[in-house]
Amino acid sequence: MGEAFFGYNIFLSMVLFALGSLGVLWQRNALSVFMSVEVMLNAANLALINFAQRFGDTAGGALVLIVIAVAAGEAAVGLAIFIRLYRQRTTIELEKATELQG
Amino acid sequence: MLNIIYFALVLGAIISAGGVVFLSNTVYCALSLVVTMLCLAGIYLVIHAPFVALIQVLVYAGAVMVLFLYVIMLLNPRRAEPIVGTVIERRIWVVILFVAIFLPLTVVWLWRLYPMLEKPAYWDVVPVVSVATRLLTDLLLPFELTSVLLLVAIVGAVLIAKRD
Repeated sequence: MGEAFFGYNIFLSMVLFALGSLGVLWQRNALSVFMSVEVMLNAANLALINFAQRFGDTAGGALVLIVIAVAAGEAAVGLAIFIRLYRQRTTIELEKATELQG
Repeated sequence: MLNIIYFALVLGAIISAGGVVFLSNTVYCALSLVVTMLCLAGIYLVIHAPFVALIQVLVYAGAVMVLFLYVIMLLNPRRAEPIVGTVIERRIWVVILFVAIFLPLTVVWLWRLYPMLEKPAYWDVVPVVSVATRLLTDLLLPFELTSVLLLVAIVGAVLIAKRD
């Protein structure tokens, strides 16, 4: 049943990853940029599961669980950093945080 | 029937991901992202990965997005300032970059992967038991490292966000 969608899943994964990378550069708000990164992570997960099903390898499903756990940890730390950033300069516009710009 | 459901889910995922990328209100972005994740969970169900679909809804659409919405409400980001010339110039370059990345991918997909749309050799429901067995035998080290990573993330998040 599900095998008919193998190629379309790859295409969806491509589209989502490209859209996520577009969003990372397009958005000006740190939170929106972070959400675009989550879209990219989801695209990677979809490709991983798709190929795991294709080749009948259970490691794909296990790896996806690890990826989701890492993404949750990343979200927690990233959002904590944004709270710190907001407290220091009362904005999370990325154009205002330019100390590291050369 | 399954075809209709699947392509509706694909369409929903792409449109809502477009919402995440282009909407300027952060709360709308987050809600759009929830829709993307739910659509992907539906696709996981269609391609016979029910356990991953469950985890996707529980952890991603549930826990992570609640965290996002909580931080959005805590920070209450103001409306973005008006778009100036440098932003427009940057966005034009971003679109060019996007096309430069996406077009080669599409070409490769049509050329090498579209033939694979024909029936793959193997396709079956992956039982939860076999995923768990894999996770607790030869993937044990990544599994345990993930638990350490989550502990570090919890402590780190509290340490970074707390007032000095």
